Amino acid sequence: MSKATVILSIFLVFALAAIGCHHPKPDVYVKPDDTFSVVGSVHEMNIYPEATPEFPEHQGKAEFISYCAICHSLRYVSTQPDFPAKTWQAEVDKMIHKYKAPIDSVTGAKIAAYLVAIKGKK
Amino acid sequence: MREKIFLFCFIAVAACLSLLSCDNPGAGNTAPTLVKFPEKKDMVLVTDRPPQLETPLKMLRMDITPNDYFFVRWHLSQIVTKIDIDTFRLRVGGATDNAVALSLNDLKTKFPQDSIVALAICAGNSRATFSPRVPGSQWNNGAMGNAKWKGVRLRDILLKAGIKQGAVDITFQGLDRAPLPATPTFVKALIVSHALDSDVLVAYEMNGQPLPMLNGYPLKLIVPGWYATYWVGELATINVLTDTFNGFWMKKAYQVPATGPNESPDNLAKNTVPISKINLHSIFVEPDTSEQVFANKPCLVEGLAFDDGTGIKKVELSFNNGKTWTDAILNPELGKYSWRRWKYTWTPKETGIYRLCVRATDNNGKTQPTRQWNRSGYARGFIEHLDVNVN
Repeated sequence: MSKATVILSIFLVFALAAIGCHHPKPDVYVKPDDTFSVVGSVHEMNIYPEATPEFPEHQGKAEFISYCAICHSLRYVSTQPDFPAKTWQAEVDKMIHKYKAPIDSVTGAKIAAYLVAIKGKK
Repeated sequence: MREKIFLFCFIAVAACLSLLSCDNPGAGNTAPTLVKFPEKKDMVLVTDRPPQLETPLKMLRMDITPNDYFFVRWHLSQIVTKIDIDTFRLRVGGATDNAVALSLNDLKTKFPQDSIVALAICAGNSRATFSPRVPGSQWNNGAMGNAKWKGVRLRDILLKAGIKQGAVDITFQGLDRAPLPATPTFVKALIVSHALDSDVLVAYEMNGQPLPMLNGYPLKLIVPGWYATYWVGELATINVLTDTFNGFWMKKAYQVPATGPNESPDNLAKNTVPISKINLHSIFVEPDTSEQVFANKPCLVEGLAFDDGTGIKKVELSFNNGKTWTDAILNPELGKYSWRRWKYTWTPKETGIYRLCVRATDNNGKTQPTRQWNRSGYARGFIEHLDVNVN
């Protein structure tokens, strides 16, 4: 192996290492150049796609998914920090009493328990 | 041959250095999910239904926030996504002499036109930075933007309809609806004297362009100096009431302690009032955690200060966790309701971790507190700090 090759190899290793520790590229999931249009007097925006995050398996997941997603994307939950059980129960109660979600108290308790299981503050 | 190898080595070294010196956040930083929604460039995704998009911090480093980077916040998920501007009408009714229905063309041709530079800031901006954390949309500092709004003074529209004697509140409603009919519709209210204030606009233009649909095309209420919860988008109905409006979004949601946006988690305030004016605050926009700072090299420290229109008198910075303070340079004022940019060229002498603090003082001499918390994460206004690792 020539001296030049050795030097080149060392530089290549450095270059690859630099790329390896580089800033992770954020996940960009919509390319919407065609999602907005103005035709005559009509302004129209296509319904934007929803990217539902993965949620862990746990009792109450089915209730959580079927009820909470009626009004809002489940990302509302995945972007929250961990909270004590009292806070999660208050959130479910808020959805039922203030926003009138059609959730009975048994189902509400299951949903709150699921939220505590996945984002409960120990 | 030898020269070629040297040249190659030189390029390789340069490439390595450039890669090492650009964005390089600390380990454990999770990149935010960026998303491209209609008429928007890369925005931080908060929620997709309803759409809530945050402006990336780097896009707050300019006087005016571009429309395609302007934050998006809706409450109810059925926003209207198709509008025929020929049939759209803004309806003004209730306790008026004559109910009116105005087309966009009416607004552009039958009224005096006005424009204003004003900061739109979500009441819950910076919620994710409260400690202890509170539930709600988890915004960092990017639920705000500065824009030039053009439209018609609300006052002129109300005078055209004629407000009846005894009117108390004016309500504002957009076209957005909740999926469930029982969910309270998003309606906000201003008292008559505020609605007749010459600063309040019904805007059809934002930075010289029609509003993006996600920002409330075709009309948005602009309430300078007040939190953006009042800046109703897709504005279609204005109603004059002879009683106080008691709707959910005024009396239950968007409440702050009556004594100010501060309370203790162990002792929540009993009396609350609807949030209103923008609290005095200042933030850092540069450097951010992805940018490296070196000892004995000048580093630009930059940020924003803002309030309810009282005006920013000074912004001070500390590089030693509040022990000593020095004045930042204020950029020219863009209008009393605009944010005020500030900057300072800092040359740290030694390596290590520095805790920077920023505090603004308004024209009445009021300054920022060192601590603040409230259960909803509203009206952030205490002294911010920024830890900078100097290499």
